[in-house]
Amino acid sequence: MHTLEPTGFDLARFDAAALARLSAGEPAAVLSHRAAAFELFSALPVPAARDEEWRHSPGKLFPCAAFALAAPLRASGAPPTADWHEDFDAVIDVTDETFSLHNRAGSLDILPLAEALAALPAGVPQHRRKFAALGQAFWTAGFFIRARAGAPVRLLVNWRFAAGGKLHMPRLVVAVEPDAHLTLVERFQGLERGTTSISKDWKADAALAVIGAHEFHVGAGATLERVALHEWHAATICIAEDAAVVAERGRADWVTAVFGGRAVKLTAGCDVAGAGAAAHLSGLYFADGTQHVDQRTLQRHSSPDTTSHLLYKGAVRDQSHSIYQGLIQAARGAVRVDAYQMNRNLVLNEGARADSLPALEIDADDLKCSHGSATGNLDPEQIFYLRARGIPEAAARHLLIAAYFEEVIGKVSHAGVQERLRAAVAQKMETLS
Amino acid sequence: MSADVEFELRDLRVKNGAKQILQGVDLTLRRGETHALMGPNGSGKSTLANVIMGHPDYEVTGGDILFHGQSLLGLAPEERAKLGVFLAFQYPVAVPGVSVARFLKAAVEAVRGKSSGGAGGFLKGVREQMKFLEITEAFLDRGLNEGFSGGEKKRLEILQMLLLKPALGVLDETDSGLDIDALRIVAAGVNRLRGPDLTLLVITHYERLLKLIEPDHLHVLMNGRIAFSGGPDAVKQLELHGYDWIRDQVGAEVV
Repeated sequence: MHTLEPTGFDLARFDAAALARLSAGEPAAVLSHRAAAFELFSALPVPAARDEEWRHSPGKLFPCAAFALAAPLRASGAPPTADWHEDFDAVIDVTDETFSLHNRAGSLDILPLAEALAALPAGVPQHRRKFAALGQAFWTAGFFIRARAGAPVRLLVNWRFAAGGKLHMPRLVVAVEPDAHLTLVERFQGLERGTTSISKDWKADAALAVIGAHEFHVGAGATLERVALHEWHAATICIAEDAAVVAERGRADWVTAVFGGRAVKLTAGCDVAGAGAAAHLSGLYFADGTQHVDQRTLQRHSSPDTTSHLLYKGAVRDQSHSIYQGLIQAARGAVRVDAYQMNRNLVLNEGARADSLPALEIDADDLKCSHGSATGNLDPEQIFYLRARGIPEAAARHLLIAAYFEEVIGKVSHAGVQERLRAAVAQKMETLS
Repeated sequence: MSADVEFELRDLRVKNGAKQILQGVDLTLRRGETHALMGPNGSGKSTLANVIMGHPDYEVTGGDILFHGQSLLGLAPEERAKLGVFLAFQYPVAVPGVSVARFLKAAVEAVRGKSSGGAGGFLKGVREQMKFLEITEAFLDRGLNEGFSGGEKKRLEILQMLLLKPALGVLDETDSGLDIDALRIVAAGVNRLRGPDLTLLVITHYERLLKLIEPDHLHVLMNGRIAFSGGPDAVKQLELHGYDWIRDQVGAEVV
C-alpha cells in the first residue's frame, strides 16, 4: 500500500501508464487529448498543507490513491428513473459505470466526451489547477453538452455512484451558444448509505471517491442556470474543480448545495470575460457529524463593465468543519466592475467550526467591490420573539435555520429542487434540539 | 386575595447581568382591568415587560409573578404564551425568510391549536383583522418585520394580539414611533379586544396613548419600584406636572 506523507496528496499513481490503461479501447485521438491535459497535470505542483488554500484540507482527508479508477462509462439504455425527469427536456443518468441518455430537446446536443473532442471549445484559462487538470486527463464519465439558440432547455444530470471503493471522475464540458438558454441541474448521490460512525481512519472508512472537473462556456447573450446538488452519503470523498467563462452580455447563475460527503473540496471559478457579462454564485451547505466541507470561489473580472454577485450561506453542527475561501479578481483595466461577495455561517454548537476567508485582488480602479463575512449562532432575540408567540424553542430554532437558507433556495428556479433543498435542510436538523 | 385577581407581581426583584433593575415591584390586576404603567427612561419598564414574558437575559432574584394564582417563574416563554400571556414588543425583531402568513399560522396553532376551519378559514380571519388594522394583504408574503416601518411593526404586533386573543396583554411602548393616524389604528385594535376577558398592562411614555386606551389605574415606576398608583385622573396630573409631581408626592428619598 501507499505510505502517505501526513499532509500531502499522493497522486503518484496517476502516471502515463495508468492513463494508457484507462484509454485502452478508446480512439487514438482521445488518448492524445488526455495526454495534453496530463502534461499540464504533471507540470502543476501537488497541493500541500503549506498552501493557504489547502491548509485546512490536507491530503490525508482525501486518500484518492486508495481507490481503483472506475472504468469508462458504457451505455445501458435504461429508461430515466430519477425524480423530476418529466420536468426536463433531457436527462443523463449515470449509474456507477453505465449511463443512459434521453434527449427530447431540439436545440440541445449531448455526446459522450470521447465522441466530441473535435467540437470542444478551447479550455478555460483559470482551470489550470491540479485536480481540474487531473479530471481533464483521467475523466471516466464525460459528456459534451451544447445548447443552441432557441427555446430554453432544461437538462438533468444524475450522477449516482456505488460505494464500492472506486474512484469516479465525472466531467462535463458545457457550451451554451450565443443567445441560448440552458438550465442544468446536477444531482450527485451515493447509491448506498455509508457509515456515519466517527473514525480517524479515513482511508479504511471512505467507500467512494469522486474527482470532478466541469467546464462551462457561456456565449454572448446566453444564460446558464446551473444547480449542483451534493447529496453524497457519509463515506464519500469528493474533490471538484469547476470553471466557467461568460462572454459579453452572458449570464451564469450557479447554486451549489452541499449536504453529503465525508470530506468535500469544491472550487467554483467564474470569469465574467465580456462586457455586460454577469455571474451570480450562490452556495448552501449544512454539515453535521464529522463532515468536512471546504469550498473556494473565484470571481474573476477580466473585462470592464462586468458584474459578479456571490452569496454563500452555511451551517455547521456537531463536530463538523466548513471552510469558505472567496477571491474577487479584477484584471488591469477592468473598470466599472460591480463585484460583491458575502459568506455567512451559522455555528450551531460549540465544537463545530466555520472558517471564512474572503480576499480581494484588485488591479483596477473605478469599480464597486465589496465583500463581507459573518459567523455566529442564531440570534437569541429572534428565538425569544418566536417563543413569546408560543413556538417551542427547538421548533423556533428549526424555523430560523430554514428561514436562513431560504435566501439561497429562492435562487433556484425548479420547484422540485427547491423542495429537495428544504427537505435536506430539515433532515440535517432532525436531531437538533 | 380576591378571586378575580388575574395577574399579580409580588415584591418582584430582577437583575440583568450584575445590575439590579427591579427592586421589589408590587402590582395587582383584576380580570378585565386596564392598567397603565409609566415612568422615566431607565426606570425598568421594559425589563418588567420582558421578565413577564420570560426573557432569558433577566434573572428573577426575588418575589413572584402570578397568573391566575400560578407562578410563571419556572415556565418557558412559549408556555406562558400558551397560558394566555401576550407581549407586544417595543422593538419587534425582523425574521427574514419567515413570511408573515407562515409565522401567524405557526403562532396561532402553537397557542390556540389547529383551527377547525382549515387554512382557508384561518386566512379569512387574518384578512378581516388586517383590514381593520389597515394592513395591506401584500404583507402576508413579506418576511416577518423585514423592512417594515415602525408603524407597520406595531400594527403587526396588535394583529397578533387580535389573533391570539390572550387573557393578559402587555403592551411595551406600543405607541413609540407612531404618528397620530397609526396610533389611532393601533388603539382601535387594542380596544377591539377589550372586555372582561382581557386584562391589559399598557406601558408607555406618553399620555396621548392613554387618551385612546383609557386605563382604570395608573402606576408610575421609578428606580425599579412602583412610586405611585392612582386612578385615571392621575394621567392629567402627570401630563401637567411631569414626574416631579410624583417626586414631590412621595418624597425625594424614595426616588
